[in-house]
Amino acid sequence: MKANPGGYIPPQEVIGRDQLIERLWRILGRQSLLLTAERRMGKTSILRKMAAESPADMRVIFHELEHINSPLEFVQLVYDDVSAYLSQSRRTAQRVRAFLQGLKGMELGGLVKFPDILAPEWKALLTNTIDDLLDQRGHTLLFLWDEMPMMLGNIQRYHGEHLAEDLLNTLRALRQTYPDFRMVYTGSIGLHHVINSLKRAGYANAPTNDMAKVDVPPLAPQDAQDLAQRLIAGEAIQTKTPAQLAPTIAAAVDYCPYYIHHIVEELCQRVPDTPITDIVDECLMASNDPWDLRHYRDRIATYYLPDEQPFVLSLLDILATASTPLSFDALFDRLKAHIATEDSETVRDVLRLLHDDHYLTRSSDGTWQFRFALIQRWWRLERGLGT
Amino acid sequence: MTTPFLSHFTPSLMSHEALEAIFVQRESFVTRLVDLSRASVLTPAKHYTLLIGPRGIGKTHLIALLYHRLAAMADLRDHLCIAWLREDEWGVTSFLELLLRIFTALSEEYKDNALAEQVTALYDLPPRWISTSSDSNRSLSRMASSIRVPIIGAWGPCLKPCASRSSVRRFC
Repeated sequence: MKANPGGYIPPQEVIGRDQLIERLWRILGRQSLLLTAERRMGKTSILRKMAAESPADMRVIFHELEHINSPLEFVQLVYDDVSAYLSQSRRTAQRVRAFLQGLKGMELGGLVKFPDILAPEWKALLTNTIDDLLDQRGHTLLFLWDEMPMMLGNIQRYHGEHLAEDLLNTLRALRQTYPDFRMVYTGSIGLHHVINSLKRAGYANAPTNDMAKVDVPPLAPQDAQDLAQRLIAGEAIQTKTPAQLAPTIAAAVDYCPYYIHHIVEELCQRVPDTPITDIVDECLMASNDPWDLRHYRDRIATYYLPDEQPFVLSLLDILATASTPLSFDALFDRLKAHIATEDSETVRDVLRLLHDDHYLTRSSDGTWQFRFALIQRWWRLERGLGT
Repeated sequence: MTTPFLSHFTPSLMSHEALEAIFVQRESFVTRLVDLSRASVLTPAKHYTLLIGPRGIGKTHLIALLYHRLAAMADLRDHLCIAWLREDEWGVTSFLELLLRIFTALSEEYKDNALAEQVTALYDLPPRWISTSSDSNRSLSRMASSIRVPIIGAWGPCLKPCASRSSVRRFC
């Protein structure tokens, strides 16, 4: 097995996710799922593994939605997936055909592109498409939709909040209409930002409150070491301390699979026994940002309101340099040295968002800290807060 | 004995032998790139590489060597197509145009007249079709699926004039 940071990992090479996937299948037996994960945690690999190794009674269709900009494009994608699926059993999407013939006198050829004049009909097209697929009973139908929040953000930006809201509500209605219909939404930057934005625009629905929410954690330490060991063996990395190398790599990057791949990739280019801490330091500091960590800073401007951003930056600065986790009161006191505020409720709201966005974690005693020591260290370095 | 042609600025014009003869220091790196490309062809794993470096550091030389070494591997020949977009591929302004250049490079490399005709037909599409691109994307998908081996694309800095970088990517 070769190091492959950011590339396509085949399902059989996805290590340490079997228990999580078993849990997800158990949940999907009863309801749909919102799968959240910090970026680079391997959620897309998990989805692909689920699609490749699904139970016999489950029909699974996987698609990334990042590039979708309108409800009609979304329906087109679902229709294409459904048509491809039906063609395997020499069937066609009869209900969609009948709907279009009744509506505009349209005929569907072999390859179909819905014309723009059908944009107002996207909801009926979607429902008919799903009807076509669910005609055959006895199977549960599962759509794995990766980067759902990005699609909703695009629709919101180009077509307005009402259409994003309408799409979420339509999908919720489909879930409630068909007992054998399941969806998995995933996205690294949370759906909560989209839903919060819809709420600010006056939409008060909770369009995912029927879905279970599961967070993809880093690998368990033993699994992270197993992954590192397989990569070390696959790349024939030479070392004088074979027993220590895999555990050192796994711990140095908080057991995140993507960074483990990166470290082993770096080891391939280095002299034997280059200290792992040196490699991590270089990657955190490198001008070309090989681990794409600047995203943690850049996305704040995209997803947080202008009024929230100073709070976000100050809270992260404080926690990046704190030697121990901080209680809310201690954090708020220190914040007041950065920003003149008595608005503790806004601070609580921002902390909640930072928690949902995987920057921070809260312990059972209520104290706050960075979720990943690696990101905490990068934040210190990036912001010039000392080492 | 003839003197090999050495180009200061256009490694793609040089022979494989000349490129190897003047290649220094980076043998382990190019070997690594070859290994990853082979793994992408011969195993289910797919690797993507972005080479970044200042002008003149040797990125195009590396890509030229990668091309020649992969093209010479008999065990890959039936499993791989290489689309090498040279240093002078100016004028690529859209993803669609990039795909067209890739197919053009493939048709020239493998003397595939049928593919060349399909590419020409796409250039003849009305501008509106190209700009909305859904129909042309479908045609491109059909063309890609008609090529039943993986494609490796290698292209130089001219595709993104604002950055000095070269890419090696694997499609399909």
